[in-house]
Amino acid sequence: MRSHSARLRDLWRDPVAVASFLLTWGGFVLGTLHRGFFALIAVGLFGPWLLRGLGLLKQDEFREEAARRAAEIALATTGVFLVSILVANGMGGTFSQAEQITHDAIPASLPLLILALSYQLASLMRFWGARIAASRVFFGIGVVWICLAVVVAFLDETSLSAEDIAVFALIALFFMGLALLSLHRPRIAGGIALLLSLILVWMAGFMEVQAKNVPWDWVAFDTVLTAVPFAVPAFALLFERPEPDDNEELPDSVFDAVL
Amino acid sequence: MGTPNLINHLRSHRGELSQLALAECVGVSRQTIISIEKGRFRPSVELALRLARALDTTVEALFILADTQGDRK
Repeated sequence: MRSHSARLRDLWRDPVAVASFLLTWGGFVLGTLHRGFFALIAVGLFGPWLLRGLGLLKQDEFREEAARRAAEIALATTGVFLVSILVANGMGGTFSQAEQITHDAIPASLPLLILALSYQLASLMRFWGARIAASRVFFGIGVVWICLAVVVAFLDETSLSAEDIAVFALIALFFMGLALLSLHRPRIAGGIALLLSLILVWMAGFMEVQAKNVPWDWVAFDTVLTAVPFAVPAFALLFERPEPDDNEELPDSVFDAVL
Repeated sequence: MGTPNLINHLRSHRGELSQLALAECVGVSRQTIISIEKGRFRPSVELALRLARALDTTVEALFILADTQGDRK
């Protein structure tokens, strides 16, 4: 196995990919403070494409191919989503009259979020291979979950009970387990992740029905943000093709896969 | 999809040439070498020629067309 420091050096060997990732997600986070920061998303997502198109950026050919394949998946995903909205709107039967979604009512941030999420996740799946990439994504979700739990514990005036803490820890353990399963039982992990993403979509529909005062675009935004990170690795794991010359060692543990 | 190849085999026979060393030799990332070896990525003609030169062989000896795999073995 290679040392962790060598793997970290590999990660930073492509400054364009790292800058694109940081700008895109920094834009989403900072955009909640001021909408002007959403411009960073455009720079992060489309900047490398514009530079490549102008012949000002030359990357490793595998990285370029990974980006192209990810862009195809992102285009298809976003297209299917937008067409589904238009069809649902035209049929008029999916939503009640009061909630009828007009074309103008679809916030631009929603397809942009789908585009960004599916593009970045698909490029990771292509770049690292489905198993390792999915493992890293699920591990990352677990870490984010723990961070959120800590923030909630600090911000929430009503202190968390022991039961709440146990539930938080169990969910984090579930994500770590899914990360480990992705390495050694990709089809099972993919099935669980797909099921989880479907449950998240169903829960969003349930919320939409139950909480009439919640704007539908908030629900849709949260659903995309939570379901897509499971759906993309799920499809990658389920449709992973067997590799005859499996000469790259699979990491023994999730921690080896992360670094 | 990529093309079956003997890169890993030839690396081992060239004094355990590492993936990173080969990657630096031909001017690509280590992940590119991994993906080619595993048949996940089909390199350009230029990269295939550079790989063949680095491994002191020919492109024809390095890559295997699917319908000629039986002939090689």
